[in-house]
Formats: sequence, structure tokens, C-alpha cells
Amino acid sequence: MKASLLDKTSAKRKFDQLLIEAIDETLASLGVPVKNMLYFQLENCFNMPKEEIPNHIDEFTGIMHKIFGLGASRLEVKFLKNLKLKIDFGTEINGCELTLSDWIINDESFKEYVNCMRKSYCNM
Amino acid sequence: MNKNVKIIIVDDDEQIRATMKTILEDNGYVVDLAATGNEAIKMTQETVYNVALLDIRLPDIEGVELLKRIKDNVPKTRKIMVTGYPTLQNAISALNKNADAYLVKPFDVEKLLNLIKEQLRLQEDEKKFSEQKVAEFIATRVEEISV
Repeated sequence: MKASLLDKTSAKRKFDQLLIEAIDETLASLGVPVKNMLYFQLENCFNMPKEEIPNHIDEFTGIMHKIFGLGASRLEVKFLKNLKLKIDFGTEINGCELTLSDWIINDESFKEYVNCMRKSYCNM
Repeated sequence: MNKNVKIIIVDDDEQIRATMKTILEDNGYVVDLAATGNEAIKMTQETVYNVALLDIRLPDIEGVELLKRIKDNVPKTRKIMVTGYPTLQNAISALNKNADAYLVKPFDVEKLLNLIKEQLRLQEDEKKFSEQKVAEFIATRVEEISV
């Protein structure tokens, strides 16, 4: 029981690290000054250092939408695509088998999708 | 050093395409070829090119018309018109219609390579400038939403 809990904690930590990497790489594609400015503002104006993003996904996406407007959704899709590549579930994620296009059509929020992926990852 | 730089050569003359491809690939560029304007339009919709070398006379579309129809990406594709008919009118027309540079055939290899290098440098400057602008935009937006 304890071991399983530890496994899940470690899996969650690993997932969050992959999520940070996915976000970081996507933001880097906008250019290093853009990425650095975004992290600077998140940390200094919203008290959200980069490492804390996975614990505040809702707030993070809210800020992204306020800054980039509709463009934020495109970034979210890129975050998810990148995350999916890193996690490499293959084609299926138990209990979370939506494709990225389904995600857009169903208007599932970024937070919901990430939580779903995290849950599946931790239960693997 | 140039391995991530993609160049498209649009020319209906197979020999010119092959020669340019060899020269550019020898210098580390990744090169794609198109024999017609329509082929080039399709390819630029699917791939982001740093530089496009466009013959001014193509079988299906005039080179200057092609300038307008090549998809603009970020960073903007640098467009170099290539012509074997060096008239002032051609040059002015091409530059007025969004060409970034102009090259006359038969061209000197050194000149071609220098021109590409120069265009890539300008592209990098533009990219840095636009990144800086986005970074400033973020700072401004955060200031607005924090109020």
C-alpha cells in the first residue's frame, strides 16, 4: 500500500516534470526573450515560478488567455502535443483516449486534459 | 552550421536547379526543388523555408506573381529573384513586389552564397526584433491585467 502510494507520488512528480519541459520547449519556440519574459512575469507578478505551474494549471491558463487571447489555445494544443510525445503512451491513455482534435471539438479545458493525462500516467 | 536552413529553388531549367542544389548542399543547406510556380506554392504551404530562390520566368506563373503567392511564415521567407534577363524594369518590378534581393544569371557562386548569408542575417535580425516586440507586448499586457 505504502509502496504504491510512493510510486504514485513519484509518477506524479515525473509527470509534472515532463509537463514543465513540454511547456518550456513550446515557449522556447516563440523565442528565448519571449519565454524569459513570460517566466519573469509569472514569477514576479503572479507569484508562480516555473516549477509551480503544474500545481496551478488553471491559474496558468487563465493568465495565458489574458495575455495572448485566442492565441493561448494554440499554445495549449502545442503544450499537449509536446507532452503527449514525451509521455509516449502510444495511442491509448486509459480513461483518457481523446485525441487532440477531439479535445478541441469537445472544448475540454486544458486543465481537464492535463489532469486526465496525469491520472492515467500515475495509474500506469 | 547551415543544416537547419531550408532553401527552395524554383526554376524550370533542370540543369540550373541541379547545379544550385549541389552548390547549396555542399555548403550545408537543406535544399528542395520546384520546377513550376504551382509546385512551389504547394511546397511553401507545407514546409517553412528560410530562403526562396525564384526564377523570374516560370512556365505557369510569372516569378513576380509568385512572390505574392508564396506563403509568408514566421520567420518570413527571404525571397531572391533570379533572372537571365537583367533589365532595370525586371529588377524594379521584383523589388516592388516583395522580393528581398535580386540575382542575375549566370551568377557567380561566391556572390550567390554571400547573398544568401546576407539574407539569413537579415532574417535573424527580424526574428530577434519580433521576439523582442512580443516580449514587450507580454510585459505591457501583464501590466494592464494586473491593474
